[in-house]
Amino acid sequence: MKLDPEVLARVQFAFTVTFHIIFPTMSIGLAAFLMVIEGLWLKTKDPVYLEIYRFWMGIFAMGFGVGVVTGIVLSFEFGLGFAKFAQIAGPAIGPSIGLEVLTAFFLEAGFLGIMLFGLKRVGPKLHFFATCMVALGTQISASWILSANSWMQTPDGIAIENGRVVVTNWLRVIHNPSWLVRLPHMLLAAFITGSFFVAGVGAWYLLCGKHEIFGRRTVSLGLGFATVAVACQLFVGDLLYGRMLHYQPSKMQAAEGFWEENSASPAPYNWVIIPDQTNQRNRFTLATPVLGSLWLTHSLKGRVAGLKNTPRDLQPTMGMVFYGFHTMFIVAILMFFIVGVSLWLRVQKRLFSTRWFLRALVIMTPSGFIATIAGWYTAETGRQPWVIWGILRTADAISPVPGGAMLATLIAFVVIYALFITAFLVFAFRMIRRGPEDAPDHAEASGSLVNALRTQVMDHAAATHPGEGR
Amino acid sequence: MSAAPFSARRAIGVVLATLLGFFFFNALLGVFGLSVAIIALLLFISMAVVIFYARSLDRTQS
Repeated sequence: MKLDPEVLARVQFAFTVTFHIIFPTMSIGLAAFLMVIEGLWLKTKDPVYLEIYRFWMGIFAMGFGVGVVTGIVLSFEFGLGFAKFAQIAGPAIGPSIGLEVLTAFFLEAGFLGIMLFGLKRVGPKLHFFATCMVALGTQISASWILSANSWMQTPDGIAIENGRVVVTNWLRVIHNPSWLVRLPHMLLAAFITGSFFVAGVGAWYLLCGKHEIFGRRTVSLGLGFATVAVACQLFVGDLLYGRMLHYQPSKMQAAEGFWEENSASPAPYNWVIIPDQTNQRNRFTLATPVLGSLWLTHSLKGRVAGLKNTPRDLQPTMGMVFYGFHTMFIVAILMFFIVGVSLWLRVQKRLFSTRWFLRALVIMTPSGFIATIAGWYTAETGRQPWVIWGILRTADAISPVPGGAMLATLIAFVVIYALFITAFLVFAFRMIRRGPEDAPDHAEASGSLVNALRTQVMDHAAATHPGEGR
Repeated sequence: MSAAPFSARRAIGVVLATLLGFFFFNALLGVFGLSVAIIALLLFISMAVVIFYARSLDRTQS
C-alpha cells in the first residue's frame, strides 16, 4: 500500500488542531467568565460568586494546561508536515506566532500562578487584576493566531521574491482584510462555548436536585452571557460571510451547496446535499424554497453563485465545506432558539423549573465546541487547494518526508491525545460530580509524589526542630 | 374555568414571541440591511439586559 504524505500530513494536522482548538476556546470563554464572576464577588461580597469562581477555576486550569501542551505540538508540525510552507511563509507568519508567545504567554504565565494559587496569599484586588490579565492574555493570544491564520486566508502586505514571501508592509500583514472580522467571530465563539458549558453544568445540578443555589446562579449567568454573545455572533457571522464571499468566493460557493453558475430565482436554502464533485452536481438535495435568496442575497429573488464559477482545479471539496458550515449554522440556530426561550421563561419566572428546558441545556453543553470545530473546518477546507490563498498550494507545501514517518507520528499523536482527552474528561467529570462545595481555594497539585515529598519535608523539619510548632 | 383563557393567552404569547424571535434572527443575519441589523442587535441586547436585570435574582424565579 502506498502512503500519500500529503494526505497523511493533512490528516495529522487536522487531528491535532481539532483536538487543540477545544481547549483554547474553553480557556478564552472561561477566563472571561471568571473575570466577570470575580468582579461580581468583589462588588457584592456574595459568597455564591466565590463558590462559582473556585469551582470553575479548577476546570479552567486543567483546560489551560492541556491547551498549551497541544498547541506547542502544532508549531513542530509545521516543520514535520509542512516544511515548504514554513520556509516560504515564515517571514510573514513567524513573527505573529513569536509575538503570541512574547505578548500573551508571558502575560498569562506571569499572572496564572497568582490566579490559581493566590486567592489567600494576595489581596482580593490584586487577585482580580491577575484574573483580568489572564483573560486579556488569552484574547491577545487568540488575536495573534487569528492574524496569522487570516493572513493565510487573505494574504496582504507582501511581495513574492525568488519564490519566497517578503514583507513589504507589516501593518497590512497583521491587519489583513479578514482579521478584524474573524477575530471577533472567534472570540464570540469562545464566549458562547464557555457560556453554554457553564449553563449546561448548572442545569445538570438543577435536574439532579443538588447544589441548587449554585446551579441557579450559573444557569442564569451562563444564559445571560450567551444571549448577548449569540446575538452578536449572528451579526458578526453575516459580516464575515460577506467578507469571505468577496475574498474567497469558492469557499462560500461550496458552503452553500450550489453547482450552477447561477442558481434558480428565487434560490432555495440547502440543508442536506449529497454532492457529486466529479459530475459537478448534487445527487440529492433537501432545501427550503426562497430562503436561499433571503438569507444569502438579502432579497426575495436573488440568485446564488455556484461552484462551477471556480475552475475545477481550484475548487475545494464541496461536501467538507458544506457540512462544516451547515453544522456551525444549525448549531447557531439551536443556540438562538435556546437563548430566546430562556428570555421567555425568565419573563414567566419558570427558568429553573422547566425541566425540558434544563434537559435541553444539558444536551447543549458541548454545542459551542461542536460549532467552533465545524467553523474551523469550513475555514480550512474551504481554503483548499491553497494553504496560502492564491500563493501556495497545499500540495506544494508538504515536507519531503516518507509516508511511513507521517503515519507513525500520526499514530503516536492519536495515542497521546487520547490519553490527554481521557485524563481531562475523567478529572473534569470528577470535579463536576463532586460539586462546588468541595472545590478548593486554589488549584491543587494532585498525585502522590507531591504529598510524599511534603510528608518527608515535614517529617525532616519535625526531626531537626522538635520543639517548634508548625 | 380560568385554565382555558390562561392557556389561550399563553399560546398567543408563544406565537408572538416566536414571530419576534424569527424577526430578530433574520434582522441580525442582515436580511433587512445593515442598518436594520445594527438596530436589531442593539434592541435585542437591550431587551435581554432589561429582562435579565428585572428577573435575574434567583429569589424571583422558580
